[in-house]
Amino acid sequence: MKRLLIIGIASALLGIGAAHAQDVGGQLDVLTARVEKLEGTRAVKKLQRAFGYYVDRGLWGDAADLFSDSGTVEIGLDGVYIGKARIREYLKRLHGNQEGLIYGQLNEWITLQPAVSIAADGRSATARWRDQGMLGQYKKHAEWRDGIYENAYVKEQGVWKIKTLHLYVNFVVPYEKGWARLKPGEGLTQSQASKDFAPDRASSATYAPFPDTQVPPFQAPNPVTGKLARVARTTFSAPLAPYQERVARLEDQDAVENLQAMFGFYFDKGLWSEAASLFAPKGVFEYGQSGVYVGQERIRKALLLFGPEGLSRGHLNNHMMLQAIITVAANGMTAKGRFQGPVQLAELGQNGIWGVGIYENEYVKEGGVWKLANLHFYPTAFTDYDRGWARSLLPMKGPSAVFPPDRPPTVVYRTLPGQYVPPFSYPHPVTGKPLDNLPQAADSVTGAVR
Amino acid sequence: MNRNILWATLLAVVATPAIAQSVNEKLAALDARITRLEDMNAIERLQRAYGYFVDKSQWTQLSELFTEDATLEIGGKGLFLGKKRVLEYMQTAFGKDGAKENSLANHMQFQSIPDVSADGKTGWIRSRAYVMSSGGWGLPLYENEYRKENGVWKESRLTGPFTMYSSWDGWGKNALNNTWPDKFEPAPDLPPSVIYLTYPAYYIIPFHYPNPVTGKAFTPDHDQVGAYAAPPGTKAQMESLKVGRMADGTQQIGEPPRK
Repeated sequence: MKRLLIIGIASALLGIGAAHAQDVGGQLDVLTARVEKLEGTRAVKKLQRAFGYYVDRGLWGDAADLFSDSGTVEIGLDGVYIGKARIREYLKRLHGNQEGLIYGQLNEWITLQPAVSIAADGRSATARWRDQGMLGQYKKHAEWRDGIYENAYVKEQGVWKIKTLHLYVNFVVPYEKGWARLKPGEGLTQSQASKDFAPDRASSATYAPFPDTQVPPFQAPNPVTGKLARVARTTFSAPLAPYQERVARLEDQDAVENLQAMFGFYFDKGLWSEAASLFAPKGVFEYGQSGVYVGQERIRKALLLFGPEGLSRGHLNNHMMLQAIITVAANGMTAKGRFQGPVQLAELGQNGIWGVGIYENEYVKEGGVWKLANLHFYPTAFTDYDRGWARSLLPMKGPSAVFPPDRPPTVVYRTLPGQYVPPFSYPHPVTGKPLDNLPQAADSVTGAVR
Repeated sequence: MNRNILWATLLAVVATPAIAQSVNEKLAALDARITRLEDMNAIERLQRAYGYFVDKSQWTQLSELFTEDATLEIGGKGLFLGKKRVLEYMQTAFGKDGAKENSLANHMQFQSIPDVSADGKTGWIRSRAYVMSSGGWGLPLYENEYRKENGVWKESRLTGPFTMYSSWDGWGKNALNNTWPDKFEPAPDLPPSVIYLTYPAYYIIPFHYPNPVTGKAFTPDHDQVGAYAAPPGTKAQMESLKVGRMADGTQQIGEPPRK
């Protein structure tokens, strides 16, 4: 009160321009802090993706240099390695104990689906990532790896570094066998490297790998229901308003990408209540030809068609949310997103399944929080794990008789051999022409869709 | 406290021109940082859009992502020069626009590391395609360049060396060798910019960015490298470059026996 009075007097005495200049300074600081957080998200993504590319090529030193001095690595049952030197040595031993790759070694650590959270002070961060490993030694063996990273990052003297890398390995499985035939205890073992070169600390976690359902603890809260730190509202004056708009749109894009990533992480593990909580109250869920479910409660029940809450033994339900193209409306209240959705499935006693598909989703901002308004997954092909796309093409499921949808599918199409292209929600990035009206390939059964 | 605010206010007024100046400078700096973030999003968007077009053989739209003078080099096929040739390459090698029934050719675009030059006019990406197709598996890597023309980002160079291709038998049993200029039509405009081997060997296309923490740039080896036997720059790797060659880099040719 007193403060306002004094500023008021000062302004009255000395002219409005003065107070204005100071306002702008304060607003600038607020906006700069927000830009710094956006840059932090970029830096974190770069670090983790760069780590993958170094490990892919056997550059253990470069990979270890991405860590802070007290940085740690923990992979599966191998325990915790602390500090750059130990991390470097561990990575080296993990891959045959030489610099670089061995001739015939494949070591692709494909690093996907980031959900990054920058701390309020902008100096630390956490991120959840999806790991897909394509590993092996030519003419000897080949493996798939599936896992989740829950990592932490720190900014030291202006440079972002990896503080903890924790890969919760869900399984490493021989290519020929496939994940669907994994028996308990087969998919996760301690490496020989970790036996020969003991870790600095024992494992920090207990693991329940596939065929159990392993849910690595989430460091970040649920993006919709979680208690997120509320940022004080700042009103931006004329010279700063357009900048604040641009920053807000960048923040919106990140928020939508995070939301979709988290949906994927929940959906994978049958965390249906969490998954459903990401929808707006009037949200819509549509999966392939199974019809449309409307409203959070209907969606939560419909998700049970994919398996019981928390899934059951031998049930793999990986649905990836990748290759995001997010378009936020000019007013910042709605958004659209296209995602690439590879699928890995398994059910007890059945063959594994690979799938691919496209998400074209809609989002709405309610009370400052982004929510799913319409999640529409268009599976475009499924195949039997053993036989592959050239010899096996599986159809989509139709609407459930047990829990029928509220509405029939909005689009009738078929998966491969058909070639339906879900219309693009974004215009061509260079020409600006719309892409939602491209001709569909002729289909020998249904005829051209359009 | 109150006194401080009063002082600050008074000072602000006295120093209005200087502060206004510094606010403008700060705004310009902030503008550059916001623009950089927007540019990185735009570059990722471009590359991801490229992937969605490949998936469904939408070659005309794909070619429109490129600058007029763009270059394209995929696998060991050699260089194609210009946007028109990008389109010709795609339509000749892979068929006319529109995906063929029964055929899967997903080139999913993952793990992007975009960067933008200090002047904001050039951009780069390291990223990967994850190929899931009727033929099996593939892992092209990208080190691409982008250019901002009249405020619009376009792809000015696509460089996509292959890491690994295998049939559905998997990479433990099967490895397809790299492509080469006359493997399939059309012929390239220029030979490959580098000759290298794919899995089971490996090649390291230089990283456009220095190590994000140490700031140290990746130094590729100076002699011709088709495959790495040890990390770049190491003694073992340097020696491997000389195997089977004379010191000047040429190959030894056996002299026919003489009396």
